[in-house]
Amino acid sequence: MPGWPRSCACSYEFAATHPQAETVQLWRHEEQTTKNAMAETIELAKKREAERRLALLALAGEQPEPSGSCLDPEELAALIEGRLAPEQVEPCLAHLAGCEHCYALWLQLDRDWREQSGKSGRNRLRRLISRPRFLTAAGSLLAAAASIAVFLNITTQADRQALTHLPKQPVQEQVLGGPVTESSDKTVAEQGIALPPPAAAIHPSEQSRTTEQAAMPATPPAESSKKEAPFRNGRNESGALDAAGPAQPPDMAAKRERRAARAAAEIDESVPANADMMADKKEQEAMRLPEKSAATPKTAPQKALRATTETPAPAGEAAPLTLADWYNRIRAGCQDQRGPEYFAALSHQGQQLLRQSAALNQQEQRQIERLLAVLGNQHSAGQQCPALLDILGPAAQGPEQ
Amino acid sequence: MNPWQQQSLTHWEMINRLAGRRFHQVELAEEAALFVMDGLAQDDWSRLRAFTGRSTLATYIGALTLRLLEDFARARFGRIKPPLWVRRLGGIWLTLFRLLCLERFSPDEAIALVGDRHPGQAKAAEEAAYRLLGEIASCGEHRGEQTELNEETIPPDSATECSEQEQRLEQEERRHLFTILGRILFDEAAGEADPRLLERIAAASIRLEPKERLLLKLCYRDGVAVAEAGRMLGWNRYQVHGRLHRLLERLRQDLANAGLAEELRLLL
Repeated sequence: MPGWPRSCACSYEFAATHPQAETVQLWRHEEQTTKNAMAETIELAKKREAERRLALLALAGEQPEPSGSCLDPEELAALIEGRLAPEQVEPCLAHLAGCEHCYALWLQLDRDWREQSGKSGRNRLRRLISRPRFLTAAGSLLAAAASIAVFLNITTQADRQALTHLPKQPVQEQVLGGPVTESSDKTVAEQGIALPPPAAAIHPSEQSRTTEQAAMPATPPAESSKKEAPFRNGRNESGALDAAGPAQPPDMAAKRERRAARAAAEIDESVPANADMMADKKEQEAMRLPEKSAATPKTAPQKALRATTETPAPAGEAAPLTLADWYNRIRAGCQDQRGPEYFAALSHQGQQLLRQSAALNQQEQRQIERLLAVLGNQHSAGQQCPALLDILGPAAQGPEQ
Repeated sequence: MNPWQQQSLTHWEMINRLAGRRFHQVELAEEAALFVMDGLAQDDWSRLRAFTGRSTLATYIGALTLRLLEDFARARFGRIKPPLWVRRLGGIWLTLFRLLCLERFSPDEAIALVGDRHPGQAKAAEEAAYRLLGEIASCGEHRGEQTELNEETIPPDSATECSEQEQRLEQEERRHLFTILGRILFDEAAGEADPRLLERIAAASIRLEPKERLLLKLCYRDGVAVAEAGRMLGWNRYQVHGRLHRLLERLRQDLANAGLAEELRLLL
């Protein structure tokens, strides 16, 4: 952009020769505003001068006689400090209006008193606080502080929730453990399922934990957090104090957690009734066979955790995907009404299991193939699930048994 | 040590400060401060003993000090009754008259002193000082006669019994006042204003309440901020601005009612 000339006249010429009409307009507007402001200032100064002349003319008229005797020093001091009663102030001021001598003393003493009182910290603070500007600033600061406090409170609550659910996070991450292709990564990420980092990237101290948690039931993140919520404060879902909470068997607690979560899920997602019925049925089965349920996703998390803690995975080795895990994930997917991406990822994992078929017997291989065939169909999850569950059979009598 | 003596010594710094502000010369200020201490100690500290606790002791001693400093100035420099126009103009005019004509300060010193006592009035003080020196030819001729001074010996500014000669003199002074006032107020604007016109304006039936007079004096004569003047008179900043506005309106209205609307418009 070419440099703008400094002088005003040249600037106009320059602006006129360049097609920048808006700039010229803006310039003219600014100049007009400045002129107006200057005119206002001059007008104000004239007005003040006229007022001063008027006041001095009025004062030059008849001078009143001083009323009463001159103020005694204590009276003067009390007047300056504002300690006189209103009925005592008026005569004093009436005298001051007529007596130049006392008036001069009043003026001098008041100035000195003001200076001295202004020096003391308390008075300075009082004066500062009484300023409207300070009050405005203080109000704004208080509002800002309140906003920050609210924000921090919300953030802290969210952090607490996150911290409370921290141990379950790797469980969610383990849902789709094992090597996954980029496409499946993407689809899983869209579903809100975090994939575990590569085995080499996991710290050895964390590996045992992730292995432990791999055995825990795979539940969706929202559900797991909702399950924990009613018990965190020792209260049940109805809000009553849950004194017997910790003493209850873990199966009962797990059942109640699941019910609470399902109630919340019903509000959010309106889960189909058949899924509920299926889940209830499985819960009943789990209640009936507690010793078997430890291996299924319907068992109490604590129990499963304890069981797997006793046999930690060897350090430096990622948790391998077992056939039981895969079956459990299929059941969980059907139970939670997961999307097609989830089942695509499951299909991928099933193919991997088939490739590592050394540890599988013929019957298991066939079952995997049947499941993969169903998963390979381009049907929705709702259509696939009955067939998948039919092949898998009841959880407690799964092929891994 | 006498407790009153102890109290006065506690406030010695304040006494020194006030003396230094009143008399800029160090020796004179020290002398004045000692005069104040003597005055306080007089009659077994009777002035301090008269304190009843209506104010703080510091402010009370400050008030006593200012009065005693005036006594010292009179004792040292004597007393001359200022001309009426100076008394009427008051404020810095009166102070400058005392400094120039009585205490014989040089114009620069007097201007600096007034500028210190009345912040923001330095320019007005300069103009006033040279105007005073120009108007009062005998300014500074009278040297201080030592006089016996106390509160009782100070006569009131306006004598109650006036002879005819005094009245004539006052009339003359009054005309002088309006001539000076015309020069002060209207020199730069529209040439010198007619003193008779100014007198007519000033003589119009303008009645000022004591508080109104004080407000005008503080704001337009002594350069005190309006809010500060309000505090001194017991009004808050909103009240004082409103009262000042209404007062000026009323003054204009009074002058218009006196048939001086056109003159006022031309002058102001």
